[in-house]
Amino acid sequence: MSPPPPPVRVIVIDDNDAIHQDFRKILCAANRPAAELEAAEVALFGDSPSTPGEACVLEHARDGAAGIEAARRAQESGEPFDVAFLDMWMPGGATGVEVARTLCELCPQMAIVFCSANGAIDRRDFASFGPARYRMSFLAKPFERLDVLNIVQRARR
Amino acid sequence: MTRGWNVPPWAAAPAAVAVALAISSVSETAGWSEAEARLQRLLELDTRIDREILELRLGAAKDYDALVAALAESRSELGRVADFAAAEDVARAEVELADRVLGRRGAAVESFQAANAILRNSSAYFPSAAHALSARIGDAHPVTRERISALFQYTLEMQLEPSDALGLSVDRTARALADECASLADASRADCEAMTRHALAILASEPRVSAALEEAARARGFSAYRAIHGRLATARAAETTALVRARAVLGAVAVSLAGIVAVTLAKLHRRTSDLTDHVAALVEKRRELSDERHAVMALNATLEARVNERTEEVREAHARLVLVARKAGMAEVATEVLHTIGNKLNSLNVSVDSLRVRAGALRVSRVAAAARLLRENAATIGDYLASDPRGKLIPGFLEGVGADLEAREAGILAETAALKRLVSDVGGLVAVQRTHLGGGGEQLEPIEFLVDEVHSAVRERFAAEGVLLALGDVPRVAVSVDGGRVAHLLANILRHALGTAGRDQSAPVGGVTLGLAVRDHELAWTVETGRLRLSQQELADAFSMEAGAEPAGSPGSLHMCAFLAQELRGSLAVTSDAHTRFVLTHPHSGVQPVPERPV
Repeated sequence: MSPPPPPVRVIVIDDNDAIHQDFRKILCAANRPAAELEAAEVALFGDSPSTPGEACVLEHARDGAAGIEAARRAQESGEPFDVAFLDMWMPGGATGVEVARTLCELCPQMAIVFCSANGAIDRRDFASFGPARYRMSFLAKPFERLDVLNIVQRARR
Repeated sequence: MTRGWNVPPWAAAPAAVAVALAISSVSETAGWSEAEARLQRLLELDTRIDREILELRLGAAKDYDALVAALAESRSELGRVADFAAAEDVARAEVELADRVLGRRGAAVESFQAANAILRNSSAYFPSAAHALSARIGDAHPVTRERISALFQYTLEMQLEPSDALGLSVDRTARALADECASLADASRADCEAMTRHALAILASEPRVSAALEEAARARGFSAYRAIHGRLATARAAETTALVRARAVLGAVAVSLAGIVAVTLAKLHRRTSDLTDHVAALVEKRRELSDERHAVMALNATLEARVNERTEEVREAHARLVLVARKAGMAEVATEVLHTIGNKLNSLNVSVDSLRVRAGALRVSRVAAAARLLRENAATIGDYLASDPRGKLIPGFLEGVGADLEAREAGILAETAALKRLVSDVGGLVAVQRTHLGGGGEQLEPIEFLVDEVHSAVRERFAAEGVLLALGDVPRVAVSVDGGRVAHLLANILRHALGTAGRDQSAPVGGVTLGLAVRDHELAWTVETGRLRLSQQELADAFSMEAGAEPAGSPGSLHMCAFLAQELRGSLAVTSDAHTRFVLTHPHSGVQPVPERPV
């Protein structure tokens, strides 16, 4: 039996607590039943309907500066983030694009997902990112659970 | 035009006048003619002096007063000429020469006068002395008498025609007679000595007179005077030439200036003509402008009327703009609200997904399958559960499923509550937006009308919940407030009060009371629930953004109500002891009594 894959390391940078809660619900939901129940279920019916969830390590930052600091610490500790969900517009401080520019320099392998409730982004903002632009994607609010899971799975690959 | 001129053209006129005056002032030095006249006079005097001297030499002249006068006049005239020559710095040498010549002639004449005086005196006394001596000695001294006669004769002849021989004879005779005079008697001797003395004086004076006259005749001023005249004439001619040149130059300048003046005058004339034309044109233009001014004034009056109309239109447009600006402000609020709603919708979406996932994991079908197994083995249920390999698993499975279901139910309930709060928040946000859009502004609102509006908004909800809504004393006044917002907010508070009252299912509810106190500058609304006390946590939850007890479509949490109260520049407070009290205070802009209704 192969060892389980390492958890995907995710950071959410958003000023809205509800959004952090949403990511927690999607990425940290305890959907699996107790092991005894699952074993009894398999013995009784031959299978278990439980679907394995994504194993994630989720961190939260309320603004761009805190997100950059968390990313720097993770990079220095040798456990960098795989994905950053980054709000495009946060009150005060740097915008999502400006934070992304720093994150790209700090974490060359990290996928950056811009989140926005405004529906679209100005693509000209990304012209100066160069190759790092191919590590970026966009997640429009309100987002679906599966959208988030797909992004995280893609980051694992 | 003044282009190319160093001086303005009008300056030519005074310049021309100045040049004319200069020309008129440029003339020969005044003393030339006078000097020439004086020289002419000197020549005449010189000729007269020559004639007088000649007459004296010839013995034709009786006296020499005319000679002396001519000499004096000559000195005077020559002095004047000398002054002129010195002033003009001309013929100085010639004048000095003439002066020297005239001085020589004067000195000669003075010598002549001196010698001639002696000669005349002796000549006058000699004859009488000779006669007296001759008479006195008579015949006593014949030789002496003869000698006296000879001396007399020699002297007279010498006076008539002098000669060296006669002079020698006179001298010898006189000296011989002088020797003989000593032998004469006293009286005769004195006469003898006088006669000899006069004879010798005549003898000595006669040549001096002749020499003086000869010297005076030689010292003629004619040449000197002519030389002076020549010098003066040359100088005068030079001055005349210079004068002619100066006059020619000045004449040329005068002609030029005259030309300039003429040209200037011509230009002035042309300008004057042009100016006259311009003035005429200006007068015509002024008349046209006057006509146009009247036309403009008429147009202005029309324009003023139009401006007044447009001003009124602008005022109306401004009012519309104010309204649009207010709506723009509302739109800004709406953008913020929509952003918040977007986030709420996101959470709502995730909650629904979460519920779906949780519902999918409930294992309801597996419970049904276990139930089917139990029913199929109902006849031998004991053996089945005790010894059947699958039957033995069923109790543990059901126990595990039960625990799992309990956990999942709790999760679903929590998720549902969260979903309900989200929906409530969205409803509240929409209500806020609706309040902004629907605000009618501040106006005079009768309190009764406001209370009726609030009552009608919540009446059905209270009736459905079976809760009594009591209204306190309603003052009969009208207040200046934003009635729409106040009514909306009060209805929300009442709904919250209803929800709060509905929480306590065990205790009887004493209803909800709405009261009002009208103060000087504010209204204080109170909503009291009967016999229900909320804990501090419940109060905190009621005010939290996430909390919400209202169903979908209701105005949201008390936080929203507090927000709306702040928008009215007021506040919302909630206290809970024996019962829960909501107090809404907000300012008003005035109070007026409402007239009694006609019976």
